[in-house]
Amino acid sequence: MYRYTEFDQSIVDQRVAQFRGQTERYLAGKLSEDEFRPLRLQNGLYVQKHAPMLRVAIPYGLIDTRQLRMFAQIARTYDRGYGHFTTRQNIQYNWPALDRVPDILADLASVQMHAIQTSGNCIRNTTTDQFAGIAPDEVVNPLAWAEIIRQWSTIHPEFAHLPRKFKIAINGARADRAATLVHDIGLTALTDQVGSIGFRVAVGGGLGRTPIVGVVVREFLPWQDLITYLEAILRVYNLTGRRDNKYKARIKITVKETGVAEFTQRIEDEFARTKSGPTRLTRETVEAISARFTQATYATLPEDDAGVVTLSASNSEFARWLKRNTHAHRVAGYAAVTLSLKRKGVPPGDATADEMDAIALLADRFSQGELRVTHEQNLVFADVEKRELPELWRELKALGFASANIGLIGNIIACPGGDFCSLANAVSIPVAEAIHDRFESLDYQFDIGELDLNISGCINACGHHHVGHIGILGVDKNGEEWYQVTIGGAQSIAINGNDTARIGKIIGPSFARADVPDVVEKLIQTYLGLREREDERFVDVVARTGIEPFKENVYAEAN
Amino acid sequence: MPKLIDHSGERTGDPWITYAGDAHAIPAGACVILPLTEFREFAGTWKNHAKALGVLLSPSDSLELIANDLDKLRLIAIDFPVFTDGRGYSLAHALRSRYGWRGELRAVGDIQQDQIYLLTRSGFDTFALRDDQRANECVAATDDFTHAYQWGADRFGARPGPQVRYGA
Ligand code: HEM
Ligand code: SF4
Repeated sequence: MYRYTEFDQSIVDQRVAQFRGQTERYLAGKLSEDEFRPLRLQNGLYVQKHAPMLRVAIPYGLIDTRQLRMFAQIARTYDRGYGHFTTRQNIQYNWPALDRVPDILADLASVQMHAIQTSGNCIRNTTTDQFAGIAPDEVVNPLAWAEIIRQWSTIHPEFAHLPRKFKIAINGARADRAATLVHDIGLTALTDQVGSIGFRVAVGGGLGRTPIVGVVVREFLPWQDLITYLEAILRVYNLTGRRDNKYKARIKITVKETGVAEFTQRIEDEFARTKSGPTRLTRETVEAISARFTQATYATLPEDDAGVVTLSASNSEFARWLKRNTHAHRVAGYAAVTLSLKRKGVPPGDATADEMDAIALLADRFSQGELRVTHEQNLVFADVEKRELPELWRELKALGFASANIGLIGNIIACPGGDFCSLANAVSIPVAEAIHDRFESLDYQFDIGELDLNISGCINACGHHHVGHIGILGVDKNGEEWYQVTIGGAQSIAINGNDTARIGKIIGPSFARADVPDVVEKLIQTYLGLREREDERFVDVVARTGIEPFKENVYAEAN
Repeated sequence: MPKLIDHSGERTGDPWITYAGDAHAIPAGACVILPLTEFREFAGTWKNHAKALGVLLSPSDSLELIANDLDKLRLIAIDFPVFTDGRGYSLAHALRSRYGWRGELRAVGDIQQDQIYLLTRSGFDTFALRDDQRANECVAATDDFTHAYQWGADRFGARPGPQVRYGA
């Protein structure tokens, strides 16, 4: 956790005061709907189907238990007793009253949190790997860099009215767990031959209407230049991004229309002019920011714990949970644990206030009082002693957060869809539920192996359907809800030894809602028939065989 | 005439007149703001007629077109046709930092209270307010924040601006 200084605190406090004034003027009729819209959006307030929705930033996914308890308190005081963890490391409240929002923001500020720039045409909450700082495959810890980006982007005067929203993701491990290549800017922290830190910079990735994998514009940007370079990209985009058509306004379109070479040249020109300016980072800044992060303290423990080994040999349920929901840690004797927020009958990512409080207690007991929110809408305890895993597992099981479905078909990502969102073509949550029910058997889930199934209720792709191994997209056909299916997408997949992102391919005409579970079942059966090795995943088979065999099987009977 | 403010209060007696196609409307010896095309074609003629020249840029104008003429200018105005068009912020920043413009930089058009802080930080120092805006509230808005993380272009100006650094 980064702990605020008084300087940081003053900025969020004054932002609350500013928004309180704006809200009062709006309610008094002194600001029009159009004038208030960007102001409320940049303070996290969306107006959706039923009521305003407040999206609170969880910067790069990290929170402590005091903040989680505040989420619970806000859910109770201002909302209907629950919150929704999103795919962008935020939490959303679906039912706040507009005139209370400044009070909510003040409560958040009291625990060093805010909702600044979680919506609107500005730089959004920067996201990262949920295992940042503890992953064995980490090259550079991205957290301090993510915080520097958070500070730089917060109320950036020049970039508060961009052509469109702007999302930055940063990853510092060998595996890309931050989906960097489907962000407006994707940063990969790495080191050169002499161990200096730098960043590979990709630009112009994104999902939505035009899914595109980002292109690398810099292989190695020295860390001192990080902010200057980001600023150069944003400046070029701010001046040249399209403002005549909102569907063509993302930087991915600017890059495409300008051409990668020309666009890169413009960034480099702007960068060359500003390189030695005040945005150049110094070691003192980076060290001072790093030093304000809490540090986990680790005991000296053996790598394996006898109790864990014994229990997993005798209890297959525990063994499965251990396999799917615990993750390697760079420190011997420790593990990271994912709490699955994918439960029968509950929308993916939802948690009640009581559940948040209960989770906070567990995080205090088992994981040094901090936790992380993942883009798969789950929670992670990052620093659990292995010898405590059996006890933690029992506690999580009692609360219902121990489904051993992480990485499996049960871990569905779904946007709020037609039940909540006015832009939806179709519902998402009931579809997620139907698939969840169909594949409820964990034996079956384990047999299928790793599989990301993502659902969006419309082309805006909040549920990241393009990068699901199986993606499901709600479409409108003459006013009816239909679903288009894509396969072979991946947020991170090794192709010829290189990690990249892949956009899924549409298998054919769309389906009625009731048929979706059957279609998924047929895709899975096709996969199981084609799989050559136990560890060949669904997405690997699609990459090997193409979509044809899947297509044939799915559409065979219908024709 | 829209109300004109700077960070210290309302400015009365603004000498600048904007040329809008009718040269007879501009008395000899006035301070005149010319649209970019007019400035590029007829700056020489206007220079004899006017006391001082300013230029009015629209968001899509390229700064390269005035880069060599900055010494002929006493004021640069940037138009915001709608407040959500953010190009003017980057133009202002570039004028201040890249082109070294130290003269008056004026925001005109759809200029409202809630943009004033951001405009100030991007290097603007005067603001021609939209008609319905209240001058005192807009002046107060230049100080919405006492701390900021970004080295804005206001650092080149007369006004001290917020304290700028990273949090730690
Ligand atoms: C409930 C009301 C919501 C509305 C009205 C809404 C609206 C939108 C819109 C209009 C876009 C597309 C903008 C564009 O790409 O040009 C979008 C994208 C996105 N939304 Fe939402 N959203 C909502 C909820 C959510 C939730 C709950 C999540 C997370 C679970 C989410 C995550 C995303 C993501 C990740 C994208 C990005 C796609 C990209 O990068 O291109 N949204 N949303
Ligand atoms: S994908 Fe579409 S339906 Fe789903 S939340 Fe986003 S905008 Fe709404």
